[in-house]
Amino acid sequence: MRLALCLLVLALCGCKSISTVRAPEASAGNRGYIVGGPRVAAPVAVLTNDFDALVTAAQSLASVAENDSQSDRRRDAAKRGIVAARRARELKPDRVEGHYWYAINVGFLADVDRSYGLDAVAEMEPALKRAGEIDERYDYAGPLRVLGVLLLRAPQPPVSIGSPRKGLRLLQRAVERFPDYPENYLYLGEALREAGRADEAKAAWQKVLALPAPADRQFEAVQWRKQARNFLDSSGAGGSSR
Amino acid sequence: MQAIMVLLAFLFLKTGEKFATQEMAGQTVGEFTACVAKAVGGVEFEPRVLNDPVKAVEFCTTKKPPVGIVTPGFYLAYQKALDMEPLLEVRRQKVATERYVVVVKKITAGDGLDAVRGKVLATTLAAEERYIVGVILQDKVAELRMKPVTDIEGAVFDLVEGAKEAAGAVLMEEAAWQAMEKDEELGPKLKAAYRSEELPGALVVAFRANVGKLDLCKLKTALTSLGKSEEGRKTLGSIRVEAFEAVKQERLKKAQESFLGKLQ
Repeated sequence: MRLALCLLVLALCGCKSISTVRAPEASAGNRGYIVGGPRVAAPVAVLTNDFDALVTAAQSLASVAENDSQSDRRRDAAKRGIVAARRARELKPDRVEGHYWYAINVGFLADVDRSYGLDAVAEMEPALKRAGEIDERYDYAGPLRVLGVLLLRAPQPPVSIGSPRKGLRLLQRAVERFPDYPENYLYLGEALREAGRADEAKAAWQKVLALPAPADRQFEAVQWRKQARNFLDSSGAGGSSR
Repeated sequence: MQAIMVLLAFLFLKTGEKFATQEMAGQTVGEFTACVAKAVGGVEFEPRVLNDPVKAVEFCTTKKPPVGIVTPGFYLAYQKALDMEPLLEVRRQKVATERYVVVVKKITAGDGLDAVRGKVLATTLAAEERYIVGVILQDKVAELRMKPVTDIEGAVFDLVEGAKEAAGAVLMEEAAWQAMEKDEELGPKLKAAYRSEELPGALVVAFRANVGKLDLCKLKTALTSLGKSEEGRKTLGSIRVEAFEAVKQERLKKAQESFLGKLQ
């Protein structure tokens, strides 16, 4: 199962494309940072005070919000994921999970409801910053990665909070934290390309192709490699190490 | 019996804005024009989002849009050639006044445009050079060299960090500068050397030769009424517009005079 953060950022005659930034699977793996549990989208109503269950629900609902074929169901899942993550955040504000999953689900809601795009950015940024303050290593440096891509792809002020240079720095830090995790290189390559550093961007995408997939991310790795090859092809370098 | 719908092209031009492409903004702008078309009745719009004035001119000559939303620089440059009439002005969200500022390093000697002389000016508006020189800078800087950029923040970082290809000054919207000067990293290292006068906002224009049977009164009413309904406000919000308002003719006329300036 793949989970991606889809963020739509809109501006007057300037709307940013949907991004796909992987978020962790809802179950095993994640180096112990994520509490395991059933992968079903449990009703939020019954999870009101159980932090672990709320986090699991927020993760699972994010998965539905990304993958379901029906936009209504995606929207509903994202909204319920937001509720679950928000509640988790209230219960344990010093834990990273609630903040992180809140941001992810808000991103998915923005993907389904495009008019929500820039408002979503305003919600996601502080949540991701807080998540990063608590534990920037969570989900293979997920707070750094997702915030990095958010800053990279959002329009710049006054429309939104976009800051490609700061996004690049965050993605560089994500790579430093987890140098063997391919996904971080995928977005680092994008940031480098935006900064006009084409050769370094190609090297980052080559790294996506060269690194072995983490055991808990086998399916996602197939997508990352596909994206990396696309980036390389469009940059004229070709994805040689297929 | 099904009503006959007239399909009309609709130009959206935001010069130099990297997100202003059909691929990135087409869907959102399409939702906006669909909302407007519904209010006008009997028409459908086929919007085209562009960030290059040259391509916009090509679009106008081939697709013959009756209406568009364009930058004031484009309007002033091609008003006669494309037979444009300004219908309404755009008031953007979070932008109290349309102005530009020229930002330089804080340690730069001199103030005002003295601090800019001899420097390369990075700008997203390079394709509207006459607007920059005549209207924004009021013809006060001779032999200005411009560096076209799509990433203002990147140009500022290059300036601050002394990058090899860095411009010596950056032209940016005042609203962008207001955010940047609060930035803990960049703000203390920069200053706004020059602040333009109040400028016109983006304009809703009619291309008179192409208007045909499109009812411009209905169009204006549709646009100015958007803020009166929840759905309309949502639509405006999606394109970050606060409202469509009557054109501030005096301000536009002043800009036009500055634009023509030495060309007259």
